[in-house]
Amino acid sequence: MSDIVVDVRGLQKRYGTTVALAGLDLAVRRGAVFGLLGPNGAGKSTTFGILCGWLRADAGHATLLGEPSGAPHRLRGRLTALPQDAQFPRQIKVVDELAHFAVQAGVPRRRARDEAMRVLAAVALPEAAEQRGGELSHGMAKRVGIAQALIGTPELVFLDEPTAGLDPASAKLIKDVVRALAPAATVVISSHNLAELQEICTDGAILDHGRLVVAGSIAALTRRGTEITFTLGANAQVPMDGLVAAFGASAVTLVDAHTLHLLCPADADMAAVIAQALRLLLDFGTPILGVQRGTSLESAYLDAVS
Amino acid sequence: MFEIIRHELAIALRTKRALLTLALYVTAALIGSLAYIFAVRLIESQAIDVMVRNGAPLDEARRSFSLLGTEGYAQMVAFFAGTEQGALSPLIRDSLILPALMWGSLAFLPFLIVLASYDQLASDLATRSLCYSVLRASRRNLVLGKFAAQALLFGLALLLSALCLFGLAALMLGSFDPALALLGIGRAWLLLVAYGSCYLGLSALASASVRQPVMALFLALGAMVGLRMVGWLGSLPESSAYAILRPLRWLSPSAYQSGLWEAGYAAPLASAGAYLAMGALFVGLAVWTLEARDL
Repeated sequence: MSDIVVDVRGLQKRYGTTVALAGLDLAVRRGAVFGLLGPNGAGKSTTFGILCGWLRADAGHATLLGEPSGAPHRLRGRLTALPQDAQFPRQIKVVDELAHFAVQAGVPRRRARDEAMRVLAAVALPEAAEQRGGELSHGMAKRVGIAQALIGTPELVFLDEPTAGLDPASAKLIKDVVRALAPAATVVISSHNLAELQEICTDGAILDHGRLVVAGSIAALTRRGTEITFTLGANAQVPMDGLVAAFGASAVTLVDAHTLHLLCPADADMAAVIAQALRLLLDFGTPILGVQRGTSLESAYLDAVS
Repeated sequence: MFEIIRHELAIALRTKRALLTLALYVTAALIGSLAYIFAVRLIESQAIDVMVRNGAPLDEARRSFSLLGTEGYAQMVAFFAGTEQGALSPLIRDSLILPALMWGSLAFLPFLIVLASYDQLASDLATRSLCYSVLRASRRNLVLGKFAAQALLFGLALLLSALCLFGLAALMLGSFDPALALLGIGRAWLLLVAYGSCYLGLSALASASVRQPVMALFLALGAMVGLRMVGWLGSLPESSAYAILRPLRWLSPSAYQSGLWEAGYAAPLASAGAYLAMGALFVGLAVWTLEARDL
């Protein structure tokens, strides 16, 4: 069984004269919660659309769970997705629509209604069962959309902006749902909420102008294993000689009067490095207001797309 | 596929629009047939009055005159059927209800079918709710499943109309022959199902081609009118400078309409086959269109 469940090679897509994807390469490993980041127009939703079979690529190819993308029904029951701006079918009761999806996903008809109620319970929305799709509020429709992505036991789940427009409590619920899916399922999420992605994702990729800018684990993207930032108090004196002696001249940077950066080798014991640096600073009487491993995903993102 | 058909039927029942359109067809078929029967009866009674005024005994006049048996009636049916009088199927020619059913259906059924089914795919494209479906069913099966559900609905409406007409004929016609009536109505039903499938396919193609339901409606109606105009090319005189275009009429469904009225098996089967083939072609194009397009 391959460790790569989403393999994208040279994907291209144009809308008229606008280039949405300009040869995108991407790989997602099994069991990851993978965040797809990028500014508006970077190609995130187009990538989702092509991988989920909603859009046709102009060139390149992609495989999902070892199958070529473009015919997602061949992976029915194994692949599910939440489209960003698709309306949940409006005419019939939510429970009937979900039961229909369940039957199509391979759930026996006699169990389909129970499955529909199970996924509605997972998004804390059992009361929506008897409502029609057209009667749901925006937030409820979004949660019902996520519920349909939970039908069966999917191996690969695509969620496009799953928490957009949700209140904080509902957003937290969805984040918990996503966390519970992995590592049994691989989850690919597109979102503009970088703090949220940093919170729940294990891996990520940043796209810009239809190309991959950088990809890797969230720890690597945010340099959590290689960079430490000390926030210093007012009038701080820094023991530069001691720090350079301990970590090397190229590893220590006093960014400004309040910010000290320390770079570490990738295999460094971060706890030991932080302890040693703190000892040096405290012994020197340097006022320390905070210590942060790596940078925020937002900073990493802005660095990448700038 | 079965699950898609079941689901589409459930939606059709829920939305009621398809049912209302089909109920309109059944009602129109009944009212049209009733009016036709009354008109024929009126003509007959006026003719009998004339015979009585000319000295014929009333009973004798009633026994001897029936409009259905006259040359004029056969000519009238043949005129509206667009075929030769001698080629007319006796089952239709000698029936008091089938000519009205056939005329009405051939004229209005395409419009009713389009009105009932124009948004079968376009509404899901407009809301993008098709995105949910394609994760679990192929685009081909979605087109075929929706088409089959619509075909079932309209076949059922035709059957219901036929059964109502059967009952109407049994109640109103003194010389009613159930076996002959069943044969005639059954034949008309089968031919009209084939005829309707052509327009249902056209509606599916229009619905798969555009994102807005109202555009799908206009596209389907426009295509219907366009195809009918292509059928008119058959009327070009041989001496016309454009006579070379005459064979193009065979691309129009209307070119095969007269065959549905004719006697025997060859002409009706050829016409029905042409309609089924056109329906299949349109559905095939709808599948191809939906397969190729972005949702």
